[in-house]
Amino acid sequence: MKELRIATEPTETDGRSVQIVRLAGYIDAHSYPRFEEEMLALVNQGHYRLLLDLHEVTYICSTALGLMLQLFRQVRQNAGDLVVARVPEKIANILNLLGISKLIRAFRSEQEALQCLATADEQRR
Amino acid sequence: MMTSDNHGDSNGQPPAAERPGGACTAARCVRRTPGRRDLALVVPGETDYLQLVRDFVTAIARKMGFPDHRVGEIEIAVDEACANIIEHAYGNASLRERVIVAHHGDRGAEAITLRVSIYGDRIELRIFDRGPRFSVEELESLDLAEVVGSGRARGIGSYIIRSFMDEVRHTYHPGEGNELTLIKYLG
Repeated sequence: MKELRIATEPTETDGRSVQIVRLAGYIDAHSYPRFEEEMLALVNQGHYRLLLDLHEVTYICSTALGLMLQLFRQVRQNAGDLVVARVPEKIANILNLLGISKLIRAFRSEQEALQCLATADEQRR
Repeated sequence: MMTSDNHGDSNGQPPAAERPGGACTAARCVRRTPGRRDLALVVPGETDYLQLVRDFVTAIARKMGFPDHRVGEIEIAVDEACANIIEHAYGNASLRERVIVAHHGDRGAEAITLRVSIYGDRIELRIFDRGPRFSVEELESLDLAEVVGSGRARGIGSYIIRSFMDEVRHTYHPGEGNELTLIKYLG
């Protein structure tokens, strides 16, 4: 398996854009710089509604988890959100143990995550 | 639990990191005492060998019967420890610096040696590097809530090592390097 594949797909929920980021492979100290570059580029372009699909992620290191927390704070400060979907059990266990799952919401499917992002927007209006 | 000392281990094994010599990696299995098996992996201290280290450790942990979520905890603890060595002890040297080191025939100085001992009730992983003394304080307590709340990444790796393993010990061998021992019990 290639070390890390990143596929980004723009979509809309309730008339507002969401970037779906589908990740496959592993994010460790070797592949992290590319992950950081792609994610920071999205946020710096003004994409504050992010859905990370982790279904095919085999490993995620602490630095990548730290970046997710940093981005989560950044998008929230800009009235956006960062959620994750289809999290493998092994990674979900790490997110739970570190308390990250209390902040970054996880969903069983991309569809559920998109619905939640739309609902959250409704509640803010 | 985490402890630190300056003495060698009680198993009579060499304390310092091994040099990989001409080969990039080496893995061996030696049966030393009944009921215990020892395996070793030596890799260059470079990030592109981290996956090999993870594969090595997870294969052993699975074979021992650790459930998947525990295998994941061992995997991330070992990866974080090795990544920490590469970044801090070996300074994440540039490719040019590595070439210079290789031309001077001292490439082995940047090796990471991982020794794994399999017991009936636990796995013991000992990670050797040839870097300067490891700061034990880096593994000390961390307010994870503060880290999560602030979005600060630094410190999570050390927290993971300390939290996900049952025992963590550090030994510094003067003039040779660091030995970090991680222990996880079955069940």
